[in-house]
Amino acid sequence: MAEHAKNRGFGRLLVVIYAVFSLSATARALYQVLRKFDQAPLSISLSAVSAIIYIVATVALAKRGVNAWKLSLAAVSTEMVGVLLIGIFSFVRPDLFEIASVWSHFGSGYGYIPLILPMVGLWWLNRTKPATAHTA
Amino acid sequence: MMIAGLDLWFWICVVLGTVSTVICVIQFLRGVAADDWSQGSIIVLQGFLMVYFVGSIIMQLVTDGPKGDWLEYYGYLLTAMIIPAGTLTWSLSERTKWSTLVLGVTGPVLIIMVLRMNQLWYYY
Repeated sequence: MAEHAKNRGFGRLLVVIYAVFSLSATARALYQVLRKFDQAPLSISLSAVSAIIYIVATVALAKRGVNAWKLSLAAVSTEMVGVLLIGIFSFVRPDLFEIASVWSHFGSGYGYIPLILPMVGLWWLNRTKPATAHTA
Repeated sequence: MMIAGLDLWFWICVVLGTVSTVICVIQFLRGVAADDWSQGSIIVLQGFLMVYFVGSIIMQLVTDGPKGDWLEYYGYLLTAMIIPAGTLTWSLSERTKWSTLVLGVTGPVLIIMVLRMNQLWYYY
């Protein structure tokens, strides 16, 4: 449905929130890699990975077309799985997460927005699902 | 002067950011595309950050600078300065009510970032 294009309406807001997260996660990862990498290599590597996933999600959500929708779904799903796995893992093995990554403790350092954002993203992608996956 | 352990830079940002967000949300609910009110409030925020940036450099020179890592502090400040510039640019290219809501995101994001900068400057 035309009025349900995923980069329109509410989708605009979602793209901007993803863009803000891409920017802040990238800046944070860059800083951590420069200054603290040897202190918590796992946590900081995950910060860098999450920054990349946010960037991919932002671009894919902003673009039109079936392929962009599929890429969005892949990125947002990875984000959902990532925040859940790292959230659980950071409670089980806190020694590996002395320096917080965006997703550790389910994103508590960011007001749990990293946990809620992929849920909202998946809901939006479901609402804006292309009628058929074969036609562009 | 400090209020609740946070300086006036932070509290000014709270006031300006809140006013900006309230303006943007009201304009969004009225169904208005980005206009002088919503965009103006973002320009005020950008202006505040520029003054904050210059102020930080002056304070860096006349005091010991941030207690925390200076690189992290200025990293936050420069990142913060990109945000109103970005949302404002967005609102220039998209003339729908949704761009007004996009502008409204700026305030809360900046309040959180200036809070973090305050922590870095005074505490760790």
